[in-house]
Amino acid sequence: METNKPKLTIRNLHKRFGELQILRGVNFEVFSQEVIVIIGPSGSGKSTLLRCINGLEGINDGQIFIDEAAIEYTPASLQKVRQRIGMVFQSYNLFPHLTVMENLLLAPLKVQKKTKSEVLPRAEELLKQVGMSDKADSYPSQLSGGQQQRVAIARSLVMNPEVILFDEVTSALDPERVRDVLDVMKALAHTGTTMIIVTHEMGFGRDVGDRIIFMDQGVIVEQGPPEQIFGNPQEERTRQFLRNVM
Amino acid sequence: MSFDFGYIIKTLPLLMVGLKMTVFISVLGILFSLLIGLSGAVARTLKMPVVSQIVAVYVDIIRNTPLLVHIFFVYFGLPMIGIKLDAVTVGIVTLSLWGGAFAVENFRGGTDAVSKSLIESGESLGLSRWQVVRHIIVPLGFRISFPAFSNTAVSVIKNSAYMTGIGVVELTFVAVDRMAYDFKTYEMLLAIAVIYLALIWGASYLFSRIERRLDFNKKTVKGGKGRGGFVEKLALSFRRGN
Repeated sequence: METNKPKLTIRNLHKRFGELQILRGVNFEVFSQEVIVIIGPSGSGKSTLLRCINGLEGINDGQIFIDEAAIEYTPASLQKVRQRIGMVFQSYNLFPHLTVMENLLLAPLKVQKKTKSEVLPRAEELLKQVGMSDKADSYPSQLSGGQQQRVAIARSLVMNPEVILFDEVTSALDPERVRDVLDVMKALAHTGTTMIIVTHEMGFGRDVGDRIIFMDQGVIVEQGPPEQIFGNPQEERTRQFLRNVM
Repeated sequence: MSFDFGYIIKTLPLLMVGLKMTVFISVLGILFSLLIGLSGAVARTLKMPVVSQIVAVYVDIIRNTPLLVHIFFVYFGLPMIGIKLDAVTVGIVTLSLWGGAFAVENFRGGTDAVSKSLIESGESLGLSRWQVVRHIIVPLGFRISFPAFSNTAVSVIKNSAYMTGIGVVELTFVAVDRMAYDFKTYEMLLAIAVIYLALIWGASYLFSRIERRLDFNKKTVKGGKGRGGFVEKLALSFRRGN
């Protein structure tokens, strides 16, 4: 599955908020079509890591490369990077004044300057893929959390990003809705989409991840295939965390 | 002393001339207030360097000084430095500046309420800062704070009566002018009170229609039920009387 050159390279990434050091030198690579699942306790820096990759947070030290080109933290450059790296948030963040279809079309029309007729078939196909075809004309407030999150995934996909970041996308959902969203993500993983998923759903992570990264206190403690991390973790801290959550 | 209804009927054509001017300066005043209000609110919300501070000072000065002083300042004061505007222009300028200052605060309530996460979500889709403003902050902020702005708009209409002080031939001017000629004080004051009331009721009805059209949470599509969403709750907190 993996090609030789990494799609994303994170090198010695440091991030602090004031005095608070969140990331203390994170290093890893993501290859095309790979599904990375990041787990770890709250406050370990998982979400901050995703936000740095997407440029929503600046970085204090280190570098992030996409296709071996370092990301520059300037508005114009970040705008280009974000078209290549999609992000789905915990709180869905659909635009409440736009219908589901308008949510999907906004970025392709305004950012990629495509015409409506160019994007519409793809947008309809994606809504079908996430099981939301019949809600194209609904407003977000008329949808359940799970439905909104599936639309948010479709909205990210319509830009054809090379990598998609998922930031605890099921954490705000009621348990019954979690499965719908996870199913969509599983299907996506099977189509070879490059994904970095931050999640507390250990079972899901195990099923879907090609590689699991365990983070704690701003560093990667251990990474490896799901069988290793969940079956035979090498580090005591990983064992302790998994004992607590599983 | 008897009340002369006939006099009101007889003066109605003149009052209508005044009403036309009142509507003219009010409509322009409201439109410019809207423009000033939205741009000022965006500048404040985004904390644009320099512009945000200028807007803050402008809002502070206008809100803490009487409108009549603004009118006299522009009409009688500015000619001293060579800026001479006719009375109608002064009316439109001062109403716009007055309404604009209040509208900045109205809309800032809305634009500030657009959550950081929605802005980030726009940015993460590759929208530029300007596109985020244009497609997310302004439309959402506008919807949230439109009820508050409609109050300001109604005040702009009512405050157009101050223009009588610099001789703009609007509704109040016509009535006062007639009173000076014919001494039918009660008739004229009652007449303009009723006309203002009708005008403002009409405007309020129009604003409530616009408000309803803007409320995306109330729209029901394909049998979907309107759920009280995040923005609706925010909008409610800005809505008068609720």
